[in-house]
Amino acid sequence: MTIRSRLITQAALLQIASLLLLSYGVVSVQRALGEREVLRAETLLKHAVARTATDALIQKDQVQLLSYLNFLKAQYPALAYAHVVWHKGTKTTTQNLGAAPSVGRIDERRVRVSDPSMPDSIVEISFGVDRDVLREPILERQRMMLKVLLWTGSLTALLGLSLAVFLSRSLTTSLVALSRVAEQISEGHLGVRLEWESDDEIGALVRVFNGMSTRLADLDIVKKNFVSSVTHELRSPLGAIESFLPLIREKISAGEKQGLNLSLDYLDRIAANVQRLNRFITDLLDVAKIEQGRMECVLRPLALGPLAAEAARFFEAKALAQGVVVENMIDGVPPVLADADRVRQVLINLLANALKFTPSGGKVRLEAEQVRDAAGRWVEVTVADTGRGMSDADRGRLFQAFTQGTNVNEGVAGHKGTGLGLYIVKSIVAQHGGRVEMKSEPGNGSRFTFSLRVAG
Amino acid sequence: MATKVLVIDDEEDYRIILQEVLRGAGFEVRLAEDGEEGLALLRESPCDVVLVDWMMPKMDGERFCREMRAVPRLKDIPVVMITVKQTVDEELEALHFGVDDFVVKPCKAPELLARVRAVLRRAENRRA
Repeated sequence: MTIRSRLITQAALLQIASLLLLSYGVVSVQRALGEREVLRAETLLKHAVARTATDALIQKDQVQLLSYLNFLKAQYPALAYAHVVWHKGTKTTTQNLGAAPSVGRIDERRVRVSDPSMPDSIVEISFGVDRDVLREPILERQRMMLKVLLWTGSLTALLGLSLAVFLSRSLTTSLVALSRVAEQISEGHLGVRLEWESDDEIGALVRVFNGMSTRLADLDIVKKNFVSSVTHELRSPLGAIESFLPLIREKISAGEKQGLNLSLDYLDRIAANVQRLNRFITDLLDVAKIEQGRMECVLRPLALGPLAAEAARFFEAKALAQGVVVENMIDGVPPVLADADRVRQVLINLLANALKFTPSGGKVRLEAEQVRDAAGRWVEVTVADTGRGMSDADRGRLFQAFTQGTNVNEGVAGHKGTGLGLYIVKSIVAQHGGRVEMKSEPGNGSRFTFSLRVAG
Repeated sequence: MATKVLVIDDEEDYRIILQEVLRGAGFEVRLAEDGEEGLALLRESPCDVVLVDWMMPKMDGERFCREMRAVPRLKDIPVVMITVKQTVDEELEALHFGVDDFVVKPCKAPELLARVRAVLRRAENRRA
């Protein structure tokens, strides 16, 4: 059953129920009032008959009594008949007006009047009151009232029903539109939105829905970035290795001196590509661990100085070849509580980035200082370069996985990279309870600072 | 006279590999690191066929194609695109901006040579 038909049925049932209840109430009130009216009319009739009897008794006029009663019978159709008995001493006279009908509900009433000056003179009148006649106007009123009720009831029912139809339509239009959009999304058109402005619950639902759709589209972009990044990062070095091998084979089988030297160069290139693949796969596994919340860091007191020196030495040859100076100024800071392997990874990722974006003649600096805040004592480690820096837009998405700055390759030596390094850095530092910050302006170099808790 | 090939790829490994394979097959090879450098080389002296990578910094393969096709003297040079992309949609897109054929990385030397020769033959037929 659709929402629309359910709403309409419910509205109709409600209308019918309220109409029935209303009619029942009106009819019972009418009935109670009617009974009282019948009683009053009966009393009135009795008074009139008694009054007539008294007058006739005082006037001693039997004919007048009969003519009065006749007049009363014309005035009150409920007066079915009257039977008059005159007592005067022992003498009794009777008079009849009409006869008791055999059908109908006739109640007999009796009036007895005596003359105070002549106690033996008494008039007794028995008369029949036809209750049906008494009730007739009341029943008539009841019928009219019901008729009016029926008319107005049907009219309001009609009005209510059309209102219900209108309401259900306005309600279901948005739902139908929403389900159509949901269908589009399930068909793969991620990011479609429903333009629907209202302050009610439907409006709130549409806003949530649109947010969800946008988020899905964002996730889809992340997925596409992921697939394209993985494809490129796996295929490119693999392809190079695959292509170098037959070239080396050719040169070795030719056996010429120059060819053999070239083969050695190609072998170095293969080794570099294997390294690149290895790094990428390690990064991928780290990202998988991070995403599953299984990146474990064993925190022990750690001296940063030797670790930083080791990381700087790792890049010595590369920096020299590139014409960049790497300065390690980390000295005299207290030991921190950290996982040595993970901190080494952070330093290597940050140094690799700094070197990548620093042209010949530039400088990469490693610094550390102790700071104190409400949460305790920290060591802040900074990797600063004199490279080209970056724009605000790039800064915003810097720490997302599989995302890189725009024009990331411009004027940069080496391959494109995967967009995983800083994501891993951020996750490792977060796992240590610290923070990563970055300051940069286009053309003015970049400074990456991360904090680690002081041990003890 | 040897057939002249321009190879445009941002990765040094691939420049070396393509140069080696093409030279081995008797082509005269020139190398460029990105689209801009490739266009500059072509303006100096045109070549017979261009091999261009799709994803490159500065000027990617797509923009290179469009810009080359806009130069009257260069617009008829056949272009083979080398790419790791390989969905049908992407191939269609590339055909729209004027690529003559595709080679998907990593490519085998015989396939690469066959495709380069095929586009050269088609260009020859067009001129004839």
